[in-house]
Amino acid sequence: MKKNDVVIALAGNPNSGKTTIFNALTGSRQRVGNWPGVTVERKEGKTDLDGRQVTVVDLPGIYSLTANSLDERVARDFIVQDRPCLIAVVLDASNLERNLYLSLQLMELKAAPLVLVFNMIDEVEEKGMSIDLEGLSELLGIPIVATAAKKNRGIQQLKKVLAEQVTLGAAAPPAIPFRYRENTEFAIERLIQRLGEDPSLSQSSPPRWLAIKLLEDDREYLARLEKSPLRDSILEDLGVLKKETEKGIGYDLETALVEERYGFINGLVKEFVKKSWGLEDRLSLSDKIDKVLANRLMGLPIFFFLLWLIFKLTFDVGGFFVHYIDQLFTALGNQAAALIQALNGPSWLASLVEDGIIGGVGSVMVFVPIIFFLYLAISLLEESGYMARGAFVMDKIMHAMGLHGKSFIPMVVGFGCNVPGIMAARTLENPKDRIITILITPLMSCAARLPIYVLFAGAFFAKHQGTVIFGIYLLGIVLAMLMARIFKSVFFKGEPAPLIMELPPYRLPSAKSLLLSAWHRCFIFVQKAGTVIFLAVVAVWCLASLPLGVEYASQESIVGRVGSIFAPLLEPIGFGFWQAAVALIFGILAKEIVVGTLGTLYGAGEETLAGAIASQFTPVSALAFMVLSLVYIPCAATIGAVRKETNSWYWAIFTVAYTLVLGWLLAFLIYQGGNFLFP
Amino acid sequence: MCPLSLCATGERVKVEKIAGGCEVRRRLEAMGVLPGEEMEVVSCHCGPVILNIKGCRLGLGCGMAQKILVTPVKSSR
Repeated sequence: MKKNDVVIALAGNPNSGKTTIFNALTGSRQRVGNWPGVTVERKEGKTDLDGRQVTVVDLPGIYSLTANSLDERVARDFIVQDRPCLIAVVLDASNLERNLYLSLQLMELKAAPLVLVFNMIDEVEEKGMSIDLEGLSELLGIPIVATAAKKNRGIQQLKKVLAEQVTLGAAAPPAIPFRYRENTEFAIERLIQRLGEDPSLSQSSPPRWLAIKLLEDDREYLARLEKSPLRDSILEDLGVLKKETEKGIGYDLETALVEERYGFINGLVKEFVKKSWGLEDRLSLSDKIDKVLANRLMGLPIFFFLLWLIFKLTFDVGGFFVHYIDQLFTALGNQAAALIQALNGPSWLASLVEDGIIGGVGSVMVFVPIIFFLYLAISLLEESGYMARGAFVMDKIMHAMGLHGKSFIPMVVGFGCNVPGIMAARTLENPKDRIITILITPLMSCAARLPIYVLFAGAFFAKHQGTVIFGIYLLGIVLAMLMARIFKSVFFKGEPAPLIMELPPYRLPSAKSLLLSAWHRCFIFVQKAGTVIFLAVVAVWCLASLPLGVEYASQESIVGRVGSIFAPLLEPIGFGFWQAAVALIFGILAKEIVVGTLGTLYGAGEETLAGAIASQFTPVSALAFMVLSLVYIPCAATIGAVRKETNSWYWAIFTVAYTLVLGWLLAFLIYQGGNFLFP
Repeated sequence: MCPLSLCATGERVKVEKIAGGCEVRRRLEAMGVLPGEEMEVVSCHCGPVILNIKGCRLGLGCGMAQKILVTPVKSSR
C-alpha cells in the first residue's frame, strides 16, 4: 500500500456479508497478509472505479468501536491512524437494529466519509419488508447502496457510488451528526471546550469523539489524556460533569450513551423500515434447525458426527485423486531421469531430479486434493453459521476443561493449519483464555501432518485407514483438553470468561466464496511445497549425497551420520534408525517435510515409499511414529505464531518443550505397551 | 427479578440489571443487551441460553446467563 494510493476500508459486523462484498469488488486480485504488529489476517485487494485503481482493505468484523478485543482495536487503529479516503460500512439490511450501531459510531468518529452498503437486500424483500433508502440516506447525510452480493446484485451501483465519493473526496458533504439528550449534550459541549485548550489533544482525534469516549471511560483515550499538561484539571472537570449528568439521568453515563444510540436507531428503523410481518419470522427456520443442532442432548453427538463425516468425505473424495497425482509424479520422475540420461547428463543430476526434487516435493504435492477438500469443509462450517453453534454446544465441556466455548473455533481451524488457528484465538476476550487456547492449538492435527498419517496408516492399517486417522485427530483433541486443564490449574487460576456470541442465521454459502477460500489456502500450501519444502528436500538430497563418493542415502552420508547421533533417542519408542531421525528433525521446518524427506531418502513416490516403510516399521512402531509426529515440536511457522500472538518467547519455548516431552512419552507408552500386549 | 438462566423457553423478558464487571457489560452492550431492553428466550436448558434480541440470536454461556437479571414481560402479541 503506497502513501498516495486511494484506499477504501470495508467495515461491518461479523456475518454481514463483508467478505462477499470484498470478493465481488476485487475478484481474485487479493493479497492476504497480516496487520502490522499482530497476526490478525489482513486482506487487501484492488478494484477499478471508473478506470481508477483503488485499494480495498477488508477490516476485521466488529460490533462496535470500543476496542474490547484485538479485532476491534485493529479496525479502530486502522481507521484512526491510516486514514482511509472512504469507509464503506457493510450492513445486514435485514437486521438494521443491530448493524446500524457501528455505523453510528463511525459517524461520530468522523474519520472519513462513509458509504452505507445495505447488503442482503434480497432477504429483506423476501420477508416482505421494505426500506426507504432515500429517506434514510437524506436524514443521515450518507449515501446508501442496496446490494445482494451473493447474487451479484447492486455491485455495479456500489462501484459507481464509491467512485463518486472518491472523486468528491474531502468535499463530500459531512454526515449529519446524531444528537444525544440535552444534559448529555451539555456535558459533551463543556468537555469539548476544555479539550480545546490543549491543541495537541484536539488534533489527535475529532474533539466530539474524544469527549464522548472520555465520558464513556474508554481506557485508551484516558491514557492519551495522561500526556496533556492540563491532565489534572480536565480529569477533575470530567468527574464533575459525569456526576452531574448521571444525577440528571438517574444511572451511569456509559450505559446511557449506549442506550441513546440504540434509541436513535430504533427510531430510524421505525420510521424508514416497513414490515408487513413481525420480526419474529426472520429466523424461524434457523430456530427450528437450532432446536436440533444446538440441542442440549443431541447437539454434541451431532457435532462429532459432522466432524467425522467431514473427515470421511475429505479422505474418500480427496483420496480418489491422490492415487492419480502420485502416478503422474512417478511418471514425471522417470521421464525426467530418462531425459537427462538421454542428453548424457551426469547421473547425479538425474538422481537429484528424480529422487530429490520430484520424489520429495511430489510426495507432498500428492496430498493437495485432500487438503483442498479439508479446507472446503472448514470454510463450509464457517460460512454456513454452524461454527458458532459448535462453540455454543461445546461451551459446557470446554468450561469444565478450563477453556472457553470460543476456544473450539481455533481448534477446528487448526485442523487446516495451526497458524490461522492460533490467530483465530484473538476473538477470545480474556487474555488468559487466549494464551491457553494458543498453547494447545498446536496439538490439533493440521493438514501438513496429514500426509504422515495417510502414508503410515495406508502402509500398516490399510483396511482401517479412515478409523486410525480419525483416532489420531481425536487423540489430538483429547490431549489438547487435558493439557488445557493442567495449564489452567498451574499457570492460570480462575474462571474462564463467560461465553457470549452471536449465532448468525444459517445461510447457504455461495459456491464461489467457498471455492475461492479453499483455493487461496491451497495455493499457500502449493507455494510452500514449491519453496520451503523444495529447498529442504534439495538440502536433504545434497546432505545424503555428500561427502563425495558415498552411496546415496547411506549411513556414511552426512544426513546418515547426523541422523545416527539422534537415532538412539528414538530407540525406546520403536524407530531407532537414522532416516526417521532426519525426517523428524527436518519436519520442524514444516511438517510436510517429514514425508518429503522420507520420499527423498527412500526414493520415489508414495507407493514405493509405503513399501520401504513397511520393511522398517512394525504396526506398533508406526502408530508410535504417527503419534510422535502429531505431538512433538510444532513447525517453525507455528512456533513463530505462538511467539507473535502471545508476544513472548517464553510461551513459544514452553510450547516446544512441553510438546517434545509429551510426544516422546506418549510414543514410548504406545510402543512399549503395544509390544507388551501384542508380543 | 431473576437470573436469565432460570427463565423458561419461549418467555419474554426485560433486562433489569447486569451484574458483571465493566468488561462483561461492554461486550453485552455492543451486542445490544442493556437494561430496559426486551428480549425473548429462544431456548434455555438451565445452562447455555439462546436469546432473541432485536431479531438476532445470541448464545450465552451459563456463567453469563446468571449475571443477567431479568423480569418477565407479558407478551403483547
